[in-house]
Amino acid sequence: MNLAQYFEWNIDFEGQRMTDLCLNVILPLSAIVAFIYGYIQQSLVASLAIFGGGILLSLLVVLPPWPMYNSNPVKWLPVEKPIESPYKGEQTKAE
Amino acid sequence: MHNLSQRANTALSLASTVLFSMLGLVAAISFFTGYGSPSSANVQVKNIKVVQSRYGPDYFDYGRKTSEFGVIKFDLDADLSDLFNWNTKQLFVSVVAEYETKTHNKNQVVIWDKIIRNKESAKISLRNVPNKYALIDFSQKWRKQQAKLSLHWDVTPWVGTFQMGSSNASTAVFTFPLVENQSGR
Repeated sequence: MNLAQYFEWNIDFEGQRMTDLCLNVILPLSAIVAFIYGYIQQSLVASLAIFGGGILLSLLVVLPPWPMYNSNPVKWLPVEKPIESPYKGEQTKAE
Repeated sequence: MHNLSQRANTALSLASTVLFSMLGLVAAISFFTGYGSPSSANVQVKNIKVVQSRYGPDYFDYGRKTSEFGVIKFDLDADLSDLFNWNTKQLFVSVVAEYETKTHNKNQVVIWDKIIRNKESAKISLRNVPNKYALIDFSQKWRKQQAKLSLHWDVTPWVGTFQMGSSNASTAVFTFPLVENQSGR
């Protein structure tokens, strides 16, 4: 497995739902905290620093394939041998 | 969101949207509340004289070789630190001479300016400041014109629109004297 294949970092559907929720909570919340703190301290630099920290935190939570994102794998049906198609007879009739 | 690049794309695009919403809110607040006014802003004229000289470094004289220049010295006392809030990047401060003539009813000449980048250097107290820029009228003659000096400031924000203000000019009224010498500079 080469480097590109390793960094696929796939997660299952339930994990995708969880990461979507994490992003939509962490980023707006850190922006609200950043805005309020910066407004009180009258420092835009402080606001941007806090929000930058929020971005890094969200990337740390969402990007790597943590085990909780892979704990509901898709349940594929078992492989069966192929069955006779009921429509085969009809096809030959149309010709 | 099933692989790394999709999650990175979603995360960073949401982060950009949220960041620009936050900065837009900062700009909107500054637009409506403004920056206030300084606690003190005072200009006083110390000395004014008129000399004749050629106009321009390569003597672009508009056809006349003797233009009348006002040479002025003023005192400046101002505390502009109240104009600094979280969205103020810098202040552009200028001293402007305003006057009215028979042919034009509003004339303004910027004779001095300065950029103030932080709250600590916003308290200025200067004495006998000469004018940085030429105090010359469009008609190239002063003719005992009456004028007044005022302080103007322009706030450059980090995000948002520019806003400006100016001080009351009634304390610095002066009259141009007659030309003092014919030889010029």
